[in-house]
Amino acid sequence: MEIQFYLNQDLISVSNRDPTQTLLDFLRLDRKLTGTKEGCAEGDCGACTVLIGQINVDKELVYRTANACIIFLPSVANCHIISIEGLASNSSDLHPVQQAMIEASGAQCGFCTPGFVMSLYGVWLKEPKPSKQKILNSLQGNLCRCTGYGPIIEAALKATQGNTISNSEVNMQKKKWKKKLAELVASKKAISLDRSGSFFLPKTISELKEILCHNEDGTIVAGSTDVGLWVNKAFRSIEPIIFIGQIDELRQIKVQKDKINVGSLASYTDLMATLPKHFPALKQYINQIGGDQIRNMGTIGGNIANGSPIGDMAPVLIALGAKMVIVNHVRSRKINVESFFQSYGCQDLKPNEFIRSFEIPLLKKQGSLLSLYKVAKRRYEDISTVSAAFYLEHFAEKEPRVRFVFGGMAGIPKRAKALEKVYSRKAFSTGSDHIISKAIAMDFNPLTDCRGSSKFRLKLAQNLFIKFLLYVNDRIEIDVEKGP
Amino acid sequence: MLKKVRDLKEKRKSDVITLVSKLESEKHESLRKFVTGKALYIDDMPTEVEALHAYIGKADFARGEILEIDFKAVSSFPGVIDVFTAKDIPGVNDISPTGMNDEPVLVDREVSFFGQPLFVVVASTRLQARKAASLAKIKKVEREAFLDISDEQHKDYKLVTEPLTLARGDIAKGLKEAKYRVSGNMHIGGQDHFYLEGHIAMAKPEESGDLLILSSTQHPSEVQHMVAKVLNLSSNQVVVKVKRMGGGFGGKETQSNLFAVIAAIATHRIGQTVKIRPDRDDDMIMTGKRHSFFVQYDVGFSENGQIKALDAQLSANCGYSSDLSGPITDRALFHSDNCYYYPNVRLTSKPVKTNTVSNTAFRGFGGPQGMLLAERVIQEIAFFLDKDPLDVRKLNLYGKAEKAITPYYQRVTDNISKRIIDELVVSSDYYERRKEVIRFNKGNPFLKKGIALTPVKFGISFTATWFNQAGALVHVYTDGSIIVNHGGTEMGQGLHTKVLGIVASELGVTLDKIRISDTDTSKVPNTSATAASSGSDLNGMAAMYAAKKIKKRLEIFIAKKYEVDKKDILFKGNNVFFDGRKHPFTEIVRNAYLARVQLWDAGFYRTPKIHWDRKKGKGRPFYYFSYGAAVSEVLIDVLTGEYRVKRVDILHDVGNTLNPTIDLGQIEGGFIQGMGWLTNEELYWDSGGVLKTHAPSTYKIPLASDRPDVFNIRLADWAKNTEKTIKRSKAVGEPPFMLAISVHEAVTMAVASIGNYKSNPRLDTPATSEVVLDSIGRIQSEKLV
Repeated sequence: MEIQFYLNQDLISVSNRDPTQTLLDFLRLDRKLTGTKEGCAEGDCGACTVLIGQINVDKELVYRTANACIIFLPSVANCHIISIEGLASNSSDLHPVQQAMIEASGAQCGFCTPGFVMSLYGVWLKEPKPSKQKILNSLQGNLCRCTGYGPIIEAALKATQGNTISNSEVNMQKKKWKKKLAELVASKKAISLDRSGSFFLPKTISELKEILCHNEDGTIVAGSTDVGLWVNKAFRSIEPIIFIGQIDELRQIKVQKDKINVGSLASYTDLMATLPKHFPALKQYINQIGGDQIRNMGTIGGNIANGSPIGDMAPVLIALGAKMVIVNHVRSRKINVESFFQSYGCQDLKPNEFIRSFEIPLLKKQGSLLSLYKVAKRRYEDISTVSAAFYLEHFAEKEPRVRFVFGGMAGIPKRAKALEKVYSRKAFSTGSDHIISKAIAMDFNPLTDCRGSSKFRLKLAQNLFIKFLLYVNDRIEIDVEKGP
Repeated sequence: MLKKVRDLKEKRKSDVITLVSKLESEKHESLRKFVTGKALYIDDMPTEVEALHAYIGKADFARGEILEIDFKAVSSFPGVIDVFTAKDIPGVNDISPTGMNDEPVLVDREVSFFGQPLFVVVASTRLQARKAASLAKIKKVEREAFLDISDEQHKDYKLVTEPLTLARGDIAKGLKEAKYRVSGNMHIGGQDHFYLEGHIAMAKPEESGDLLILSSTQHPSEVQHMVAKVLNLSSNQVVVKVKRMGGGFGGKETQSNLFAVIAAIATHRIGQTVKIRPDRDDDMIMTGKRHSFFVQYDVGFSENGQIKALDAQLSANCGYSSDLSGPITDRALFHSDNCYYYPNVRLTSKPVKTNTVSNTAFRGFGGPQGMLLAERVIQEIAFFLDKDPLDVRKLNLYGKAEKAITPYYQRVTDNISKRIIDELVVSSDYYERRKEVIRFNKGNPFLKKGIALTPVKFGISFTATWFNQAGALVHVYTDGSIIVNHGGTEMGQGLHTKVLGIVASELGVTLDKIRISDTDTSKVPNTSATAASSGSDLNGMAAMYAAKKIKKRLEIFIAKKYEVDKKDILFKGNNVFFDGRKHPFTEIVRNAYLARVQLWDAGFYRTPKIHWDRKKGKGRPFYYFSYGAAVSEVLIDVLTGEYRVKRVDILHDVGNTLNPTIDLGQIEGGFIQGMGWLTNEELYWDSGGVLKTHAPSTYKIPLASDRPDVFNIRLADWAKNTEKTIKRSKAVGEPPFMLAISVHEAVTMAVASIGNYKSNPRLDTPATSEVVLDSIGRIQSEKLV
């Protein structure tokens, strides 16, 4: 099967190759574009950062940063890839972010530098004068071991605050590329159902249904932020692969009267654009998931389908009482997200099914609350040691309705039923540490691993709940970043 | 004009040695290449023929014996060309850097750590080699791994090398006569280097079995010798080249030997170019790290906090072999005093053998662990006497006469720690802010602040005296362009930029006229590792000497040909000034060539004055000391143990700076790396000796968002090296790393506030949120009792 995409200025057609070849290997080995580096091959260091331009559901061309090391080539079909080589057309003509990196001495060994430049380019393209906080957010997926980051942040501020390239020029370029990509999409033959290859590229939900019906052993790949590691690190064979990134219907987020419908292919970045308006706690919480590249790639559907006990979206959805729509070629069913997780490694999903969307009930106008917490070894771009989602309805009344959910405390993301019970009976005030810790010890027996001991996890769960109570009862917020 | 030239020359001579003038440019010479992705690292370099790829098959258990390996699935995997084991090594199967003969390239039977290399696969592609290497079936007998050096049950542990004791005064008497005495212990965690470019090597076959090796190494000469030894070649048959590394930090001082040697063996067997690049996870599993330490101390002090005696034992987890553990544990002892005078002292090292990967050099080289002990001792005294730790620090600083003698009998004659501290106290407003922190803590039950000032004194020179030598070559071509080659390697620290500046200013040319060529063992031989912060001290001086010789010859030539006084000649801005006129440098060079003047030369430098007698524990191991101090302020969350570094102020001594931009970059980068070591960077081995934190997903180095909100760094611009180093500058690579100890001390204060500063939280490192929360719990329960 042939796929096409643009790489910098060139139209590329590739066919007959291993569908798990990464975009990074394609750039470095096939195209000899060695500016993009491999630092970790698992999407955690950002040395392989490239920009991917794709036409989104609103028919806009959007460029987002991504980790080329865990993207399989078919994922970029019909996209526009910009690598570091595509940024400066010739050596005397540097982009403002490159110029700023030189002026601020933003590099020492230089190995992480192309990745940083691409992330800076990404933030530069996104908005004219981003705040320092936004710049820091956009750099969460890039590691540097030499500089201590100061000069890079300085370069970012320099390049974005004194932006010398006019908006109209950028828009003109975007218009040009949007046209080219639209032509590319339109010119595609009906390749999606081709069964000769080892992968599929469906464009519609009905195509996906049919493919799954005939390929129950298939692996669905969306953002590949986890599947990329199955292949790169564990050498798992995942063929036939069903790349669902072209199915626009799955990407939609619709706000309705009392709920939000979120397509399973919505990325964390997509969620960030809509959800925090309705659930303010999600703003900080989503920001603590991955780096910018991972937030651009990773999807809500993948996060849940994966079944991980430390997937960060699960506690949120369970706490909110969200439902999920699961479909195959013959039927569609709706279940609670909570019941999707059966036991460690076991989910309520048949081989021919896929997650279509999530239905998230909106908060009641008055008297309901969602608080979210995540503790990890490092505050940003880290996997949770413990995450917590606390939902409270009618908390002024005698018998409040509550859902307290923890990640990282059991083999699945799980509600703390004993804790919920004691709380519902008597909505205790702060200072009831003993009752809380007893209830949590009844609910959980967490494991000890490199992220923390069992004892630490129990203590964290208890204290996160105390933190929540402080907020509910006294409106006290404790956060080292926000300060006193 | 003539007078101006003479004045300038006189001014220069007034300095003790001829100094280089302000550099033409301060920026790293490769910046433009970095930001455009055009800087080449080994994996980016084109080869005439596609290279083959080697990969290592590693042990999947920590200790025991191999009975048999079945290679069927390995050899029959598509693309596999060759599989070889220890038996196939033509020369000596050992790459131990200190000649201890305890580090096999590949093991035959006895496995000593999880991930130890057993065999090598060579295939057409890297992916094929990687996959094939995972397919061997290993029959084995496993034995229990020894991992915990603080475990009292293990009295029968072995040492990897000779321990060292530094002793001065009468320790028994000192401890007995001291008014107060406190003893304790501390676990100090290790650290992965996490250079962004992992290990890599490529071997190319040359005529008659000779080899060209490209290696990402800080020590090309050692790679050369190891390759020769393992292949039974002589050193003149092996050339090693290094263009640049994507970070080193000590992790490529000895650890690059393994990969270079394996590429070389493969090339030797197959006759084709072979490359090896381990995956990040394998790199972290198979290569050494900073040593974790377990230190025990017993300190005696007076009622005002004056230290009377210190008895300490520093046990280091060295892993399965010696590697550089001898000099590293030595350096830990050399820095267990930090800036403080101990009237009676006994420091003992214990380089313990365990079943982990062999630990190795890492920025600071044992110094940070020793210094952490010194600061812990100060902390104990401060808590005991309920004093501001800074007052205890100031009270115990090295002084004059007998108060200037270190535990190894070197006198501290260049001490500027007091002035550094005093200036930093003022610029950071330390005392006011400390009061404010204490006030804040009284009113906030869930958020606590801490503030601390810690100083650094770091000894400069390799303690193995013979390593303190360097060579350089300078070639001036007839068009006036210049190539410099020296024994140092570039890993991002800006060594090449500094050397370029030195040569440019010596010959009076602009930087665009000069290039630095790859470090190359066939140009400058018998080089030392680019390590111990010594790069520019040694190579900069060697390059300056080479340039000086050429300049002198040009002056003699000009004086004779143009009949002017040598004293009236000045090289500046690509011109040579004499005779009241300026003459283009290129013209002078061309004329000199026609007159058969030698336009190239070599320079050689060895550090004077140093000597060290390890048996006696006496000498002058260090040419000089670098100083600095930092004030850090943190905010901790009492409920989760999370914390944030809010503000850092640094005042650091680099002598007369060679390049402020590069020096500031080293200070900031070193500080953040040190902060990572003490805060988030936790290495976690399971009970079977398997490293579980072997990738950036589980091993967390600082991010841009972890940078302190306020970060003020200043160079102590009044400081000059009292020794005759290049331009009176000081080394900068390692010392700033230890400024981060101030973060650890600040966290200690914040935690201690829970118990009203009465009880020392005694935080182990890294002080992860788990360690902090655990300690908070302990103090809270003490309060209840």
